Amino acid sequence: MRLLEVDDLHVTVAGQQILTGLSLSIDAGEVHAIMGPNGSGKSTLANVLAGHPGYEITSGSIRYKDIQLEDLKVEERAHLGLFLAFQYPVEIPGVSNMEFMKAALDAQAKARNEEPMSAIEFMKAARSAAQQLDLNPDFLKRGVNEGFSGGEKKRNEILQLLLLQPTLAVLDETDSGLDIDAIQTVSAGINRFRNADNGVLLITHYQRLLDYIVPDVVHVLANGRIIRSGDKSLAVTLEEKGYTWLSAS
Amino acid sequence: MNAAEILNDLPSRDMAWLNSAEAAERLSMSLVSGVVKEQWKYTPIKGFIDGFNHLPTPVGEMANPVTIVIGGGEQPQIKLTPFSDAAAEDLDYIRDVLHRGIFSERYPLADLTALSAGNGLFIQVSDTPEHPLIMDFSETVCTPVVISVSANVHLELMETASAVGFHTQFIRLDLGEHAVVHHARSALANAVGHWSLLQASIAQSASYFVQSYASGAERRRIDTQIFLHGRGASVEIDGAYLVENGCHLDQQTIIEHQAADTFSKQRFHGIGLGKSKTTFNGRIHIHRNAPGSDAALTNKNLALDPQTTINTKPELEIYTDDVKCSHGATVGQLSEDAVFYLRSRGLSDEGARAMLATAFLKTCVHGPLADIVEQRFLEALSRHSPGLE
Amino acid sequence: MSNRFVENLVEREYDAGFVTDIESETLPPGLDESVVRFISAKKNEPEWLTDWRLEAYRGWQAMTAPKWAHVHFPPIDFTAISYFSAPKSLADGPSSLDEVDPELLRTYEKLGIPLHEQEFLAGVVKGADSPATSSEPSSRPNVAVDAIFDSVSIGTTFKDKLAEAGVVFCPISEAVQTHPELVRKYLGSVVPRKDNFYAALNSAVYSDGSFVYIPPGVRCPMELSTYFRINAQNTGQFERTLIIAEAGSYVSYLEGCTAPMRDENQLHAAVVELIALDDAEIKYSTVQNWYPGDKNGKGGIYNFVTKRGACIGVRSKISWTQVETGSAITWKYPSVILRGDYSVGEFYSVALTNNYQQADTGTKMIHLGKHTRSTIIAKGISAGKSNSTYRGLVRTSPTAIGARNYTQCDSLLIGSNCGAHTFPYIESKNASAIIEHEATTSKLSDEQLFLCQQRGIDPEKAVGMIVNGFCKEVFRQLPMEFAVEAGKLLEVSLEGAVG
Repeated sequence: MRLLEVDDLHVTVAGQQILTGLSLSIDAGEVHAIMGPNGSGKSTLANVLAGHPGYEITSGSIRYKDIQLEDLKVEERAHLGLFLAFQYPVEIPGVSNMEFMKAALDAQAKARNEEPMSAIEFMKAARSAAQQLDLNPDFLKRGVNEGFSGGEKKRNEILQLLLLQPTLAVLDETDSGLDIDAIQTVSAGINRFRNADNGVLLITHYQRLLDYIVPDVVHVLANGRIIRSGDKSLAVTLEEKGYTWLSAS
Repeated sequence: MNAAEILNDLPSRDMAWLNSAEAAERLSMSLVSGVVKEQWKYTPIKGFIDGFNHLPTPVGEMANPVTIVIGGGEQPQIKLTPFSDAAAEDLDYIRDVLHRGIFSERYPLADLTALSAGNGLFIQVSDTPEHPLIMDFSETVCTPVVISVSANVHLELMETASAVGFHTQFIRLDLGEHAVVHHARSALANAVGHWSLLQASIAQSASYFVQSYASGAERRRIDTQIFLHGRGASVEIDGAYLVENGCHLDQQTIIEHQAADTFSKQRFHGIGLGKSKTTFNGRIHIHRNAPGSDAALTNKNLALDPQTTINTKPELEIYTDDVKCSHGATVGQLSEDAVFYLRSRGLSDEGARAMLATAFLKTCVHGPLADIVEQRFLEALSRHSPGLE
Repeated sequence: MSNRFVENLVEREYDAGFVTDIESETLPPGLDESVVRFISAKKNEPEWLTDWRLEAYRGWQAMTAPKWAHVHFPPIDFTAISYFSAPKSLADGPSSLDEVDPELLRTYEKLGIPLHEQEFLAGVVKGADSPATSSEPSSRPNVAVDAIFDSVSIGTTFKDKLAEAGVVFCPISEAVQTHPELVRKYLGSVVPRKDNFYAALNSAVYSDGSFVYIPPGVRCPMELSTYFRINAQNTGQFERTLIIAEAGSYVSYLEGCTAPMRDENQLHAAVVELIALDDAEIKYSTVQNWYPGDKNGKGGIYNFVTKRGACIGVRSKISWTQVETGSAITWKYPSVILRGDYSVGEFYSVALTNNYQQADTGTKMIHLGKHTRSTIIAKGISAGKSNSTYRGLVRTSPTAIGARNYTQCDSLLIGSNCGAHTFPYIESKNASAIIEHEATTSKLSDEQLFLCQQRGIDPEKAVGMIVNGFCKEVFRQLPMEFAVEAGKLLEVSLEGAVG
């Protein structure tokens, strides 16, 4: 089943053209990786998919589960199972992690006309997810990302991924700022998440992450467009030869 | 404003604890003082002075204008005495503390309150009581209250101002050495006019914790002045406030570090809604003989509507070098990044905003009044944007 | 920190304190309409300007001196001040610097101010030990200088070169004759005649000052600089500076000030007005080293100055940088009115007080236009028995949609008898505005000092280093020539710190 179909997408940020005709399609059960140098438009793609108000689509289209995504609000996309793991997760002092995740789950359940998870069920799920990610349960009581280290913030994003169980997860440089142990923990969480019905879009600067989460397709993004796609070996070649190799060839 | 005219309208009487001629004299001085002018820069004092003319008369006869509840019934550790019944030595003490502090040129309304009140309440806490002391200022009157907390005593104090008519409060609190007082206070009624002055004097190694919650009113001004006069005295204040459309709130705190190694920490978070006016002035004064002082103040404000006015003025006045002082003040809006983050997890735009606004206030809300206060703030936020859950 | 250290800190030398022995024409003390008329006549001013001054004078008479600043001094006797003093040799109006009395030129040479065009700005700090003539040759950029001695300008350098670019840089008294339309249009347009007590006084009796006009699209080819020197006794200096930057132009302007050591307090009440039109940028830097008084607080300049810029045009920018080390009392709030949409105001300040000096200084950022931005970085250093106060106002009006301010005030205290104070007023009438204010106070740390000493740096040098580091963010904003001078000036101001 086709999850995502991006067609000739052009996007501007503050009047500046960032994406210049990006096309991409992801099917259920697939993991795609997007690599590219800094400033190529990787994070723009992630934010546009989630519906960040600062990004303007000037032409092209995004279809998600056969729905025109551009017309939907940020939260409506979330209700449909689109999840973005932020490159820079936002700190929200005063709102506990628990409170925040319960509110998110309840809002999504309500939108889907499902019964909300009971408080006890939720506690169990949250604790188990925290454990899988090597996070102290006290972590759930703290303010959302408040005073978290870089690594803790990224793990908190994956914690939410495991709890919310979206259909398409867009992970924006989730590996940046993580040491090797943390990368393994986070990767294990992501691998536990993937199944035949969902899809993952990994955005990363380094090939390193792909040693742990093996992608089905690797795309190279440069100057706002995908300039090459291939299998896992493309990432390895990139790592060896650098991005200049692509622009040279 | 002419002090003579103001005083003309007030009942003139002699009270054992108050020299009314002196009070009148002081009042006429302070009404023209530069300090008072600066302190009332954002709130016209006239409206408050006019309020005294609308007090029910004769106020002087009202014997018990504050509702005092002592948890668990009467307790031997707490003794209540109206000024009019106070023994000679107590009267000396009352006069002394009032003249040392409240009756200064800085607070003209204190003199007006005393002149209008006629009587006051003296509370002595001689030993640690088992239950909290609860006070509600519920009447449209003015009441001076002097509370003396003996050395080593622990006291929990809850104070609310629920009157809706014009009223003024002034509370003088003396903490003896090593005393610990937790003071939760709220002023949430939409009063026609409300002025309050809390003055606390903290002796050596005593600790004073204040949770202060306020909403706007037609006209509300809350003054707080803390004297850290003993070595190692400390005060921590957490305040939260929310000012709704058409309301007005002006809060001014002064921390006087008068002794070595004194500590103060203040944190105030506030939200302005609709066409409201909010003022916060936080002043830290480190005196020359207070080395080793440590003082911090943060005041954060959210303006949630285009017509909201917020003034803030954090002040530092420092006369010795061995200190650690900082203050910060912000005026801003909800972080759009945070709103986006919450929405990306499925919360509605309004839900996200409400969650962030409440969290912002809740950071400074705790203690025995927390539930009532949170409830009140939430109601106000939902009134402001009805879509909230 | 040892007491000895602190005591020694107040031992400070003032290098610019010499008196130039020169014959002057000085009005007897006192102020009335005839004095105003005399000054106006002396400058051959048109009738409108004489009337303008008289109106200011009448306004001033009705005003009282402000008392709100955190400074203390006995009331000034305005009848004991002389309102005009000029070197006699300038009476005939020398047409070029070559005709100027050599004694005057030597004054500037001693101060390191280049009045010959082949020379370069060597310093506003050091005296005879670093004369301008010893500067290195042409590797450093030229600076055009207007030198004001007491009440008059003694000359302006590089006028021809500037004229080629269309830039006007001359004494304001000259501009009244050569560019009356510009002076009339802009004089008092930013600081109205009756803005405040000292501005009104200045408007009535100002004697000279600099005038700068940058035509549209022109980037001024060199730094412009005015050097103010008070020499005569019992005189006030009331200069007036007007800078107009037309659309798309740029100018960087510096001012420096010194005065002889005298036992009496002398009044300096200047007014500076800046006007920036669309896309124009004005960078205004001050190194103020007026005589601060002696270590017992005797003498020194009262520096009561009104400086204000108006960002009239869209995307215009005004940036104030000041290093205030002199004066017995400083009372000064260089401000920016951000009227044009997307305009930018900046204020970078170092104020160092020692002995009995008092400084009450800061800025006002008045946000009126959409998306206007302002930045305030203020560093106060207090030593001895001095008091240093930051006083600032950030106001966003209802029209200032998306306005943004960031303020940071840091105070450094050296010794336990000084004071450091912060009084920021924040007034937001616009919910889309974001205002942030932060302030910290700390003392010169024993540990830092110890570290430096352990590494073999002598304590005096170490204090200089630490203070310089504390001020770095501000110094970075100064044009290079001045940044070096400013650093030296701080060290001189703290000289004798350790025995």
